[in-house]
Amino acid sequence: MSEKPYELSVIVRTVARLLFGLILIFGFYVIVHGHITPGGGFQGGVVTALAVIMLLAAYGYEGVVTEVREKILERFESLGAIMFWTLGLVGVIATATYFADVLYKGTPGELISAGTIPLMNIAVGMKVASGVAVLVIIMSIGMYYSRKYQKAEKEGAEE
Amino acid sequence: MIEGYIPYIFAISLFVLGLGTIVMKNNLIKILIGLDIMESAVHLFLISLGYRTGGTAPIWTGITGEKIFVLPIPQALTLTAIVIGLATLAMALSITVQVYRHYGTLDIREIRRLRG
Amino acid sequence: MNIMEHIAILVVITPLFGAFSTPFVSLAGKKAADIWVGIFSGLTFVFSILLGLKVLRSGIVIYTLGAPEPAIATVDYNGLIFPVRILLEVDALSALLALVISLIGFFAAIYSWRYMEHDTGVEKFYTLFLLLLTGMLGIVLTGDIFNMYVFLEIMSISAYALVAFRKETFEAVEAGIKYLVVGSAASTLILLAVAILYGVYGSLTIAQIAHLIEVSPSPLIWGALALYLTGFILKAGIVPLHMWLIDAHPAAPSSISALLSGVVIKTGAYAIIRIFFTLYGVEVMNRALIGWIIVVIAVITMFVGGSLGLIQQDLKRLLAYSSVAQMGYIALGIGVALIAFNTTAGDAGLVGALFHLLNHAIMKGMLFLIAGVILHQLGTRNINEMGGLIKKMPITSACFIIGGLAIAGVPPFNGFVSKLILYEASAMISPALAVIAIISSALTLGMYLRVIQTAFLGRAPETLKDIRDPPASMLIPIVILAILIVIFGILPSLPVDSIITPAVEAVKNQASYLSAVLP
Repeated sequence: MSEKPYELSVIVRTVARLLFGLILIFGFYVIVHGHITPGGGFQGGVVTALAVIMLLAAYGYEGVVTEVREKILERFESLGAIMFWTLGLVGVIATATYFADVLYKGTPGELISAGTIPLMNIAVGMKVASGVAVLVIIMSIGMYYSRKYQKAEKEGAEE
Repeated sequence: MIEGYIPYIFAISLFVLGLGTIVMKNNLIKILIGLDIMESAVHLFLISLGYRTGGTAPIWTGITGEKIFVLPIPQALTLTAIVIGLATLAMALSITVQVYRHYGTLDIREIRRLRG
Repeated sequence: MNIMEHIAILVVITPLFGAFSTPFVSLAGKKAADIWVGIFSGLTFVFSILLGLKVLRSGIVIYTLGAPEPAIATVDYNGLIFPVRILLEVDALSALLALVISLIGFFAAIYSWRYMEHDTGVEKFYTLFLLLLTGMLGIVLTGDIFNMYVFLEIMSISAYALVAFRKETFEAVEAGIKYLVVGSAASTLILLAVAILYGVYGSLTIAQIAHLIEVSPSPLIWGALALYLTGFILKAGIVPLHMWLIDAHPAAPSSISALLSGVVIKTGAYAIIRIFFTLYGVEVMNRALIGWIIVVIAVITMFVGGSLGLIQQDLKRLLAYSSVAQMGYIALGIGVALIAFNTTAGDAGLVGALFHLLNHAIMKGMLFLIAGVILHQLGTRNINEMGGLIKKMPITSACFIIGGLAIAGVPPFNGFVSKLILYEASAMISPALAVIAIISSALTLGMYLRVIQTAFLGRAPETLKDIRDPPASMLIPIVILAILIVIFGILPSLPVDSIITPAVEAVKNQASYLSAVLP
């Protein structure tokens, strides 16, 4: 007996596909403008991860996740952490202390300003976006398996 | 006079409510909800500490003149605590999935195979 | 860039980098990840030694994050001078703890090479392992109460994950969820205490708060103290709140059990010492009352751990109960030091507590590693299924006998010396206390003699034919720790004079901790 993979109706799927890019862009906006507006790496990262979560809700685990994509996200998370760590080290190399803000400061209120802080926001955004996405994906594996388990149980009862 | 204390009273009541949930409930998910309520109570407490009447968000906007900002440090602390709470909750829910897989129940009175 | 200038932060960020780079290195295979973790935990150990030397040579080390110079901790705002940045403040006590943590961490990492060879997801294990190290080192080095909470959570979350690491077994999962629920409740209490202190004094730097408490003690701080104590007593596994420890420590993989029992619970003890003696200061508190409360808790802890440990059949569970009992001794030393602060008895109590902390980290670390060897070679943790191991695996057995006798307080091993100091200190307060401590030590002796008699001596069962000593990478950490036990037992003045006494001086000297930050 072939089972259709879990997914929502065509309306939901289409809207999810359309919104996916917009949510990503909004997430990136929040990350990049973290030092001059409310928001920042964590908030923007969560918004970005929401795009992936929405796809998961619309298409189901089988429709979105492959082994490779999950691995890529995991590596991306570690990369964000390493980037944050390295940006901290810039201060040490510039003969100040760890996390010291030694890069070009610019004019307050402009996008290119505040030295390492926007770069750190990007690193944190990378880490949070991929981290939250991986978290939800891993939890949805549980959902996927329990669905399979219930189905097997139902089939067993029918026999 | 009393108005200034209302957020704190509210935060402490939420905290006690969360603690009560952890102690009295038997369902694991409800216990985790209780933990989250406790954490939220502390976040509310921190945010109330930083509030100044009529204050705006503590962001550099370029507007000159006399302005009142709310304290930024409690907000930073709260944000950090929220991130930590998120990590703890994610960890807890993942382990809860495993608990359900092994025990077939979320009733903590039945999750007691370790003894001695 | 001068390494010595940045040594304090290097101790924390080295394992942090190791943690997040391990997933990339493990692409090149498990061997590469093994070596990578060995390198980074080894580097952390080396940096801790360098940090300790620097502290011994030039006093308290301040490292301010984000400042133009590491030593500039304060800003001058219209003549008002106060610390704003996150800072690491390392005195001899912090350096001692950092040394112990990175020592046990390094050995546990090397031990894990072969111990974890049958598990999947080893790169995640290594990431969590190094994060656990980062968290612990951060707790002991930081000079900021909120930062301490953050590191506490880094440590705790990785510990929850590591306890539940073997998620195919129900034991790990159940222990993990129990540990997580009570652990995060305790963390929330600690966060509330931090929030109260921030609300009262508007600062998060330990030195600044301590100074303000001295100047104007507010009644609210006693609420914060109660929350702090409850939280950290739970994290330290001291008695009314020890039940998670008994489940969690045996369930983790053995190298993690060694870290959890050896050093993770010690960070709770460190935090209690730091809060009593530095953050609040002994002058403002009713130290006789609080001291006696701690002593009573400590006595109950010793008895509960010792007597319940006697009836255990599971080797790792027995070791966990023994950890509870030994935490009681450390708490006893702290309590005595509070009651009789700045007298001979109080000093002896602190020396005993800190020396026992060091000794117990070494002894219990080693014993859990040996329990792991037995589990790895025999496939069982039940004492009754073992027997005659001394003929089959002589080196491991000899080390276990040394460790068991040492922890029970038998001369000439290190546990005897630290317990003797604690007996003396408590006898100066009240002779009955010393008698109780000696009786509970007899319980521990009984506990370990039973294990040695059943598992290591006697006849080997037929099932244990092809058992032999483990591979070298598992054996060498155990043997080195055993050698340390003997050396510290025969020459106790070696560690006491070089590292314990400076740490005790640092605990007693609150004023220098404050003046290192504040002008």
